[in-house]
Amino acid sequence: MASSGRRVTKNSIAVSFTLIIIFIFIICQGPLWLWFLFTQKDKFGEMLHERAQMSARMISSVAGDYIGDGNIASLKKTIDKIAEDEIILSIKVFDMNGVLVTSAFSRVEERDSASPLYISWRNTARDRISVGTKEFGMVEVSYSGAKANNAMFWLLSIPPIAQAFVFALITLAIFWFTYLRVGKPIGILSERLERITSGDLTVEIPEMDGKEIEAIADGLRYLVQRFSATVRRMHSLASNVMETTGGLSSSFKNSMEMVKKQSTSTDEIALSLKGSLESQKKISDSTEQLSGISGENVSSLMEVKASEDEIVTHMASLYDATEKSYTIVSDMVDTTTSVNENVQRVLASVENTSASVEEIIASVKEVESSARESSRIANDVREQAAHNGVVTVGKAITGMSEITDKVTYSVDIVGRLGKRSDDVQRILSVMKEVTDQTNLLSINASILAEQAGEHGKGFSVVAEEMRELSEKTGAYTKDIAGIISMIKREISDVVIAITEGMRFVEEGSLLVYDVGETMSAILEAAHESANMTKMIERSTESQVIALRHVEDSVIEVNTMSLEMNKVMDKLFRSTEFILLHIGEVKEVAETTKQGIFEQSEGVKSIAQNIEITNERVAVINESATRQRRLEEGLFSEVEEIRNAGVWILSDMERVSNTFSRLREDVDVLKREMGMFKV
Amino acid sequence: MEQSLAFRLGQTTLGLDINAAVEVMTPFGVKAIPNMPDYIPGIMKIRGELVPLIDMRVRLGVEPRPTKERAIIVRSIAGKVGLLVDEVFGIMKFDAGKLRKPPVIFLGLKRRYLAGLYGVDDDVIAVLDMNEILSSEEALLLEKARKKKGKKKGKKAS
Repeated sequence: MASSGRRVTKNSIAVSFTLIIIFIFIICQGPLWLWFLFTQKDKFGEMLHERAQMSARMISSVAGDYIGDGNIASLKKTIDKIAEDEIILSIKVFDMNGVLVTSAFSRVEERDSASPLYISWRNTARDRISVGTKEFGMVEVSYSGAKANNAMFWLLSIPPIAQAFVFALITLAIFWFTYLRVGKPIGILSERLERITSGDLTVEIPEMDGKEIEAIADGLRYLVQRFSATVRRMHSLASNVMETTGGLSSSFKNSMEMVKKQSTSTDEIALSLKGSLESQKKISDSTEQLSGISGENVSSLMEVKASEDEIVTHMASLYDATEKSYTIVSDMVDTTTSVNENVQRVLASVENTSASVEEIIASVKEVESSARESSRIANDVREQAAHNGVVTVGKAITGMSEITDKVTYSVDIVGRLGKRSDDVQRILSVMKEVTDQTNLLSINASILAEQAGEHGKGFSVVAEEMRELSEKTGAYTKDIAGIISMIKREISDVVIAITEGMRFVEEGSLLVYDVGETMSAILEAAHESANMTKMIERSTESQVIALRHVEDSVIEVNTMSLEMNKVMDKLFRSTEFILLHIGEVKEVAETTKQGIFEQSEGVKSIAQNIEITNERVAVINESATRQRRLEEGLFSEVEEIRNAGVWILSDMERVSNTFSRLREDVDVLKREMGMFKV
Repeated sequence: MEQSLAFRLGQTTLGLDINAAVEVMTPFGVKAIPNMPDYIPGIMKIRGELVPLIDMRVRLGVEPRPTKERAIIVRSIAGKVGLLVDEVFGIMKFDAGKLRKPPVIFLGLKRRYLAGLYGVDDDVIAVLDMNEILSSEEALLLEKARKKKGKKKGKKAS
């Protein structure tokens, strides 16, 4: 199927294109050919006729003379010669009377033809024979168109054949070009297209050359890829939808079953609700009855409670009075006890105070003595510092300044020494110059001596001596310069060392100054401390006097406290007696109060209990009523739920049906998709 | 026996024909002249006579190590010329027959300036060829330097 399709495509484009071109060629060639045929035919006819006419004229020009002379044999010869022309069929010469004088025939067979394409087979050219004005007869030359027809045949048949050959070549070229550049790619593309149409999307579209073909191939590839992706997507979507719908359908079925079950259970609930409503009504009724009975109970109990309350209040006031007197007495006892205790404590503390006053006096005395001692020491220190320290420091300072002076002096001396060595160095440099000059002089002298020859010999000895002298001087100068520079170096070392020493001396004197200052600070401090100790001594003396006064007053307090203690003892004993008796009265009153209280509490609790019961009954009644109302509401709602369940059931059935239809549809779609190979 | 004036250039000891030498001196008051090659540092006036100087260290391509500087005044085709050297030793005697041609590679000196070499004790003395040191071209140059200086002076005086 695919191969036949390819052939069809190839034929349809390459062949039909070629055929059309050939057709156009033929259409254009036909009229041209016909026009050529007719024009050429006439031209050939005229040319033949002219040729025959020419022959006739040739014969007529000579025939007059021949006929006048009666030389018929020569005429015959001439005619025969001319009749050798292949187009001429016969030549006939007539005299004036139309009688045939002579004639000649060629060997060409006479033939007839009726074709319109051919020049008429037979024709005749005539000419009159005349010499001057005298006529001798007539020449009749009949000729054949065969020769011209042959020429025509070749003329008309060879160019078309050549053209046909060229056509064939061109056609072949066009066919080859079209097939290679257009037909083949299109064939491949169409084959791929056919495969794609049959559902095979795995087909690969090859890369192609040529603008349009390439665009088509690229477009086709893109479309196939897109289509393939889409089909794949759709396929997966379809399977997903299938699965989902399957799941949904099954879950729907389950849901439906559940709804059915729910429906039945709702029925049951409705039934049981009806039962519970009835029993609720019964409960409500009986609670109302109970409530009525309880109300009566409460009123009678309230009366009992009121009389009891009165008794309780009277009893409470009695008890309160007893309680008050008891507390007053016991407070009195407490106060007395505490007063007593305080007196005891005062006594003890007075004793303690006395002892500590003694101790203070002792320590103050110690302080006094040590203050005196320290005052003495401070005075000593002051004297020592004033006499020894300050004097020593002063001596040190003067010594230091002396050292500084000496060192400065020696630095001066060393400096002068350095200057002297500089002077020596200057002198040395002058000496060196002199030596150099002497050397030069000696060289110049020797040059002159040499140039003077024999006469200069003595001079040259002198020059040599001079040279030696200058060399020696030079060496000494060098030595001295070395020594001097060494001395200079040493001097600079000494200067550095002395400067260092100076620095140390300066530091030392600064330190000595510091010591002097510290010394005077110590002196001042010693003076101050002596003053302070004196002041301490004085104040401790006054303290001791004050403390003696304190001691005396403490002893006085002590005696007074002892007396007070005795009085308090007596008071304490009498108060304790009173307390004992009042305690008994209080106990009796308390017992009575207790009993009355208990009775009252019992009545109160009964009343409270009944009230609580009443309240509970009311609450029960109310809640029973509310429950009944709620249950009635619930019942109606259950009815509604039941109705809704039925509706839901029918809806679900519809949805389930829809789902199964959807599944079928998707199944069909999936099968369709399955057709495409991806 | 020939005689030569021995002097030092860098580390090399060189000799000079004694008959060419006029005197030895320390260069003083050297005046620079513009547009002169490196080896002509200037001109010096000795006893009223203008003497151009040639720095032999530059001229002979010897590395300069100036400790003390000396000028050897010589007679040449260009008149009196001062040669600047490092040190002058004095007169040395040598056998002219023992004067040998220098080898192809000889110290840092330019070979064509040398008349020959001879050995004294441990040292080798290279004797200079005075005619080679001053080409006619250079003699002209020196004459020009002398004239320039003279003209300048004349102008100044006028």
